[in-house]
Amino acid sequence: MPIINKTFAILAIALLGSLNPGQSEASSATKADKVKAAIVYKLTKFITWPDKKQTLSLCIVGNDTINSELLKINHKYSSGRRISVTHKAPNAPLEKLCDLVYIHNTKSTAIAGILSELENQPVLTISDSDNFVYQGGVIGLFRTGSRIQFAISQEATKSAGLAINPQLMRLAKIVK
Amino acid sequence: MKPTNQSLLLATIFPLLAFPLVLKADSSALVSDDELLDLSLEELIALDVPDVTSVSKRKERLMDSPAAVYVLTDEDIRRSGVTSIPEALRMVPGVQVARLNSNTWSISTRGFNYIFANKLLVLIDGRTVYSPLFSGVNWDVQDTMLEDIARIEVIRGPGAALWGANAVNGVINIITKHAADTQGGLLSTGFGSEEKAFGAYRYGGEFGDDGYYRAFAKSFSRDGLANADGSDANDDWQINRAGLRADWRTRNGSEVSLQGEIYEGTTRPALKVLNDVTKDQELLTNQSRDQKGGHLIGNYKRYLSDGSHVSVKGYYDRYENYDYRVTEKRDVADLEFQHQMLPWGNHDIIWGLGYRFTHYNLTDMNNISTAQPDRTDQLYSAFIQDHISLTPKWALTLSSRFEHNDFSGFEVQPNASLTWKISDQQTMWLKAASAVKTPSISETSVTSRGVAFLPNEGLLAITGNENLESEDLFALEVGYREQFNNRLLFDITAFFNQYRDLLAYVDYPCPDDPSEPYVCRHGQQKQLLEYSSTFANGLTANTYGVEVTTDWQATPWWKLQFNYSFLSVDAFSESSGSSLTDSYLRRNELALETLSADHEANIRSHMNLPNQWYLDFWVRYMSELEDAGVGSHTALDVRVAKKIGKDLEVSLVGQNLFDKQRLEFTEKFSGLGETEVQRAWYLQLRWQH
Repeated sequence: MPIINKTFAILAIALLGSLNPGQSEASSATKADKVKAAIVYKLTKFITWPDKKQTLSLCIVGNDTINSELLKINHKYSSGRRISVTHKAPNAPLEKLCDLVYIHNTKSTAIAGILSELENQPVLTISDSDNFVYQGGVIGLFRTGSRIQFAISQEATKSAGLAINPQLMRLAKIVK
Repeated sequence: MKPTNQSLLLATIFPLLAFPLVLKADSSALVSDDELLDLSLEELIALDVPDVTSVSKRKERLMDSPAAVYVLTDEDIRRSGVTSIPEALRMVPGVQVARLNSNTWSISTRGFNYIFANKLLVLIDGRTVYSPLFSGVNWDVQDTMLEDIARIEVIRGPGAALWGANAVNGVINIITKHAADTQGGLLSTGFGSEEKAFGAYRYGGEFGDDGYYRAFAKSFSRDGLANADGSDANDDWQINRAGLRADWRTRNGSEVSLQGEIYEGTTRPALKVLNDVTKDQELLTNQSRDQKGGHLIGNYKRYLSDGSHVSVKGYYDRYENYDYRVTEKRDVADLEFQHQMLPWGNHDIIWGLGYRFTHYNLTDMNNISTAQPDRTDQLYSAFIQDHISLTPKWALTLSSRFEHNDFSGFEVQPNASLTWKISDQQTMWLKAASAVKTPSISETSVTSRGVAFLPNEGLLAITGNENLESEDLFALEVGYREQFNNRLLFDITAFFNQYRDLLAYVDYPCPDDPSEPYVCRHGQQKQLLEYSSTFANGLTANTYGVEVTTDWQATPWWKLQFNYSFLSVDAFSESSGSSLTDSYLRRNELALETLSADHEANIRSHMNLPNQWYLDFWVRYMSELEDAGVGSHTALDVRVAKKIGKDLEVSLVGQNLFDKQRLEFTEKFSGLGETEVQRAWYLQLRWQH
């Protein structure tokens, strides 16, 4: 039965191909992680800090599968500013080290602590924690069905002294 | 038949294999993960990013769930060509689906395959559709617009600690889409040989600042199946259904959803009942069975400032079933409260409370009778789960449910599981759990006569037993998953289940003539014997098995899935002291061991071909159902679809292509006659606007 042999040969080749470890890098990041990281990167293009920046320092607080995705935007450019991504402990002096802080997988009490430290500081805070924008954060990522969207707190934006492009405001859910 | 099937299969696969390899396949519909950074923000926030599973009531990667979980996605459902929820469940590894007639299915997992497959809990958007009348599911009215189903999560093994009693061998969670994911219009319509005509239309829009809604109407008319001689079995079936859903956020960020559905329909299932005049079995094929019902569900979820959240869910469900054997009306009201919090250290705690009220009204009974045609049952429950992250690699989950029901009183159902994340791509888990199946109305307080026929022997009268206890399960499971470079996922589970106090029918004095025990006689000329029986907690059983699933993204345009499951059942009974009772018990033992198929396998293939052509096939195998007297079978379904532009899709589906017709199940106790599944095709059009 040459047909059968050929079928198996093709199947075997395809299987070997897919098992070749060099072909594609395994990662446990979910699609949601990748989309969130991409949203964080795109958001930065619409934000202006009070002082003119050459580099944007993005600090990650919290450990989870999204970290490897956020590290992929290290050294990318956002409106002419070079992004540098580092991981920080929640108790680090974030207001001195960071222009953006992405907080995730962190307990709500710790988030509240970070937000009170950063109050009135020119730092863009972003998180996918539930209720982040109601807690005093600037931008919160949230789910509507299967889509990932973002909310902006006008009050937190103002107190951080950030300017947000109206184009971005149109895409966001606005919280007072 | 087998060699033919095999060559047919190869003949189908071969040309498909050879051609797409040389053509440039169309994979433009999918955005590769690496291209996400090139998308605009508008595109990113419009992307479809499926949510993680709700298996453990907490959000976690499916990969890390300490349970045998399988998720059917909306794409699986669409591309399989199935037209009903029961048929979709055939895709799930370890789930056995056998169709008795046009609208009755026997669906089970890990044994006990019967139309009263009473050890499986089924929830649709958190609403239980388990019937306390016969502790099973009326699969015929469990439907919605299939395009609006987000996913069907199936947990094999006990889920009672979280989901409640009767989640003994598994839990099926059918979850419909958020209204934001069903915006715009969708028309889905078609016709075919068995699917004579069907149509559904849904429209979704926005309201207020942050609200979404959808409404749908659906109707189908299905041809009857076939009798063994090939003639039409007359069990045509049609149902009309309409529903609404709204999801919105309040000013303080709380999430609210409201949804409701109503339906009505009719069918004519074949019935095998005793004719009182001829004193013989009579086949009724012209008795209509009308059904109607509806439900309303409300959900409220609020995020508290301490990072915890609370949710409240309530629903009301009405079901009316005008069957020849009984007119059944049921009202269910249910209220649940749940609180998730992260109180200290590495603990993630969820606890909840629940109350359910069920009112039953049974009238117009033929062949069945009950002393309590009107009854109200109440269920109180509480559960708690603590997920403890011991180290980054090890997690322990402890949970338990405490319930009080009107049939068996107080029940405790604990669960412990341990997860070992060997690496990001490898997870191993262990689970020990116990669960109960509580007695149902039909097992405790209904007498049925003239519907159960023992071949060559006579009739069986069954009288309910008020003193039944719950059936108990203790289960041990171990599972392993590995993801090989994003293209191959391998998942294996092995289980050992120990059941105690399983129900068996045993001898009982004659209901209308207790002086003549065990055998009641009908008629003068023809002495038709009727053996009188009742239920008793008389059996124990051990079951074990293995389930394997492999998902393989062979090329960017070709996805394959293979799954296989093996099951073995050993039943035992202890001597009751009466040789008559022992002979009944041995009979039950044998039936229990041969209810389910030992082997089951599925191969599914999805191909995205050039020019928006899609080709999918699905081969499934189920070994013999010895108790039902049904041999093993292999079935093939094929779907060819062509998309025109972005919004129009035309598809042609062929089902059960290997056999002209096929008997899938037979049944002795309910009086339902069996009809045979036929080879079928249908043409479908889907238009989105």
